[in-house]
Amino acid sequence: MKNNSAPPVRSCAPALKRDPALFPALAAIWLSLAVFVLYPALRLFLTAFVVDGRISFSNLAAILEGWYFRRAFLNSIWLATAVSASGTFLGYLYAFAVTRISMPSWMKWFIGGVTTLPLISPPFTSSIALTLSLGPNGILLNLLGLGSFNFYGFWGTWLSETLTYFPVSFLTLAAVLSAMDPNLEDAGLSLGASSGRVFRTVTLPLSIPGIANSILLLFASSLADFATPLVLGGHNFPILPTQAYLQITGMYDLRGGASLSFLLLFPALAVYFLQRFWVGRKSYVTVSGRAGSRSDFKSKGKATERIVLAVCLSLTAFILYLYSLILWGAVVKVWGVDNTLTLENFRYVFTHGKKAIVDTLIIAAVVTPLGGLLAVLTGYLVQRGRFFGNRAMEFVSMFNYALPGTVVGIAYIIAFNQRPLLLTGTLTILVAAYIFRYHSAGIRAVIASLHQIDPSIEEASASLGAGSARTFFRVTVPLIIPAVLVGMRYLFIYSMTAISATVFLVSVRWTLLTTRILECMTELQFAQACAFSVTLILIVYIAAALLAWLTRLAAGRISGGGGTGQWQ
Amino acid sequence: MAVALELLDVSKTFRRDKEEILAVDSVSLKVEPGEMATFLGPSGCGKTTTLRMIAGFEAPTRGSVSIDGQDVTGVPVNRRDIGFVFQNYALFPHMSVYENVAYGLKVKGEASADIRRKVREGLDLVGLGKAERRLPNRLSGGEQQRVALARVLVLQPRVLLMDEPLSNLDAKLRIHMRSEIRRIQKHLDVTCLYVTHDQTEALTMSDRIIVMRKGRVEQVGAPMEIYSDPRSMFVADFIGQANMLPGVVVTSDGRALLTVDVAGRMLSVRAVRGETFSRGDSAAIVVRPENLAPTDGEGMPGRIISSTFLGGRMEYEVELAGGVTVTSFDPFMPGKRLWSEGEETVLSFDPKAAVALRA
Repeated sequence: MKNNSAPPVRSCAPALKRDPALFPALAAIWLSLAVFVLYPALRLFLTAFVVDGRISFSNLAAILEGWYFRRAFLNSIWLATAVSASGTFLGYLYAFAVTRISMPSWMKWFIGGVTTLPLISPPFTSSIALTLSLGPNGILLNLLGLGSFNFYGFWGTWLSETLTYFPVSFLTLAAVLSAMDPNLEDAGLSLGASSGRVFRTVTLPLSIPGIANSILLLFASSLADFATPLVLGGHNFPILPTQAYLQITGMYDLRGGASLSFLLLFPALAVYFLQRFWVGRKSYVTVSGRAGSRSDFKSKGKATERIVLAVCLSLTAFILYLYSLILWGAVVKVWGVDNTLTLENFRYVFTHGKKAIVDTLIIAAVVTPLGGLLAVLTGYLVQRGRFFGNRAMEFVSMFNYALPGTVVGIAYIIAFNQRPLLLTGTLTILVAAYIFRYHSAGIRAVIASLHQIDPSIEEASASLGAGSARTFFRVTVPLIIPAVLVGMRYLFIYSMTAISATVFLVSVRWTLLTTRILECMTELQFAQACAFSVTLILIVYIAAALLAWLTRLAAGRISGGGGTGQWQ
Repeated sequence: MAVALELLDVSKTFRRDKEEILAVDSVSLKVEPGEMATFLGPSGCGKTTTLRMIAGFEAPTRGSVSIDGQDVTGVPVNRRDIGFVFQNYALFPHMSVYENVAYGLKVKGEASADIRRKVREGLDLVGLGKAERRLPNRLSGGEQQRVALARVLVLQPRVLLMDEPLSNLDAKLRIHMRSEIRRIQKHLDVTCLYVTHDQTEALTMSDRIIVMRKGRVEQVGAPMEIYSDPRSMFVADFIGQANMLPGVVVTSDGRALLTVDVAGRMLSVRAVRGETFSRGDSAAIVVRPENLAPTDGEGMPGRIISSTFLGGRMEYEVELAGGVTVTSFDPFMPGKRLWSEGEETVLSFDPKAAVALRA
């Protein structure tokens, strides 16, 4: 009715009134976000831009005047561009091979398995292996007779980052290529186009959003990468994250470090938002569940197939070779000098490195469940709660993830180095850094999973007499458990392997496996670095496999075959 | 008359992109205990929104909802004591059939022996006694439907609300479940409100049908009454098929019987219930196709435009002398006179079968 006496009541605000239980959760989340996301960002900003009590760009200007820092900025951009191009190219090749070329299933499994290795390995792995084979006196260099080639600098960093990040591109593009309706390509062929023409005119144009997505993801990853350039960059190839690190740890210059991190932050944020809000949402692929029948993909021409397969298989072999180098390095006495087999290095790891192992495991054991819980609450409030500011909550929750790790680390060390929040040197600061940087994957998984749960399932619970708390714990939580486990796996892997933010935060009291590896590398203890890496990779692989198994178990119970379409 | 459920001037406005949409417009309704009442209408007519307001999933913008004489307008869903069966069943996918049916009983805090007994009875009632341990996604659509029904019936709700519960089933199963639901509803003597857009479902299952259109109640009545005395062209056309012949009233006995001039022919017909006509009014005569047969005898002349064999009957499209095109169903029998395209014919009908509406 259009009369004035009856103002329309639309249930927007009453979510809180209906569910008073939401309030404590809401308050707790906002408080933790204020302390561990907004406050450090604010302090970082103040440190960089407030000079003598007023806003000033003089710090930034001073940085930009130094030619070395200007080069670091340009190098960072150039490296990120190169890595995103080469990584996306390789990723597309792999994705194409797995989704379009018929091969035995064990080979698919093998390629997929090997490519996930770099994804869950500590960031140094490929750097160490590349140093061993292409660095000074490296075995591949000697083999090829290129003894004098200087591998440190752009080439080494680029190669190592490409190997580390192309799996991200592979996973992104494989998802896009396999979701593409095969009927489209069949239609092209049936209209008389050759397979090459179909690729050029159908497959490739349809993958462009995926390619753009991949380029941006890799650009951001490379821009933020800290470990690889630290090991392989050398003095002639300065880039921003390592320079910011050296500025702080070497010169104790927080102001300079903060300003440098802003230089890094602008392109990183630009790329992040471009990816997330423009490319990330653009997709030609319609996932309708039952697309056309997945026909056997038609032959793409024998020669092309062979070339693609050859490239993929040799790269896979190269990755395996690098990983076996690490394993080999861990069990010989002195790399390249005395190849006697020994367990001495592992003894070193479990004696001198024991504290690092235990500390890292404790941190991961605290981060994983706590971050998982926070991800569930945040995801639920963002997706289901109809209250003011839930989009803002999502945005702030993702903020630390969007920033390069170095920036987060510097912000934390500035913010928590003095009272009232004196946290440097504690377990809390490391745990907080990991949770707020890596629980975003869990939040997104929870949100996506809630999207798929028909609201009628929760309504059914209410209509059967259950209150909102009961509905949440008995119905909603069991249904999003797979998503929570995915998020927890991500948290575990990263709290075991990530270093860029936490390298600023380790102390005598709390140290990390990754920083121990870094120390070994800088002291040229390659054998010990390898043994540490092998240990770390094993722990992560076992734990990740365990969590993946739990996820499948939980998902299997609630999905499975048949059904009505309410639960896909 | 006892009242199990009453809607009093209920309206619902949704706001979407700053635009107000009036989904339900001043609906008032009383439902008797044990009655099966069906909301019938095209999609978007407000029938599901009305049902969701009765359940408490939506709050009315205006008006009130009472159950058993108690105003429940501000009462949350979980304290309304209603049973809701969803279009997609909304079974909890992570719970077994048994756990699904036991859920509401556990919420009520019943003793576990009672829960066990009631779940058994509920599953036996819907014929699923052997499926207790299975997960919903291992059941067929029809079985899931039965579990959803058992899940609400064990709670003995004051009102059973069903939102297009059969629309996800295939045609055969739908017919079977139609009578099954009606049997259970009568057996338990539970008051039921049922939403559907399928006229056959409404006609076969209901004590009363509430025809809705654009958020308003268009007509309320028993199935036969709705079919034989549609109050508007919309109802006539939505339920069954209807031909409409425009005409002018020539004589009227005030209420029941009229003579109407249709394209120069005088037809004696009945006025629709509750409508009065006087001389000179324009009227629309509604005749169902099955009551209109081509003959060689007396009636309205016309020409066959198309002739289609449908198995049990012939369907003819006939253009009448006045220019109106009508449809006629003629039961098919081997050896019976058939009409072919272009033939001149005469349509006759029993005046009792036709009814005059206000045009």
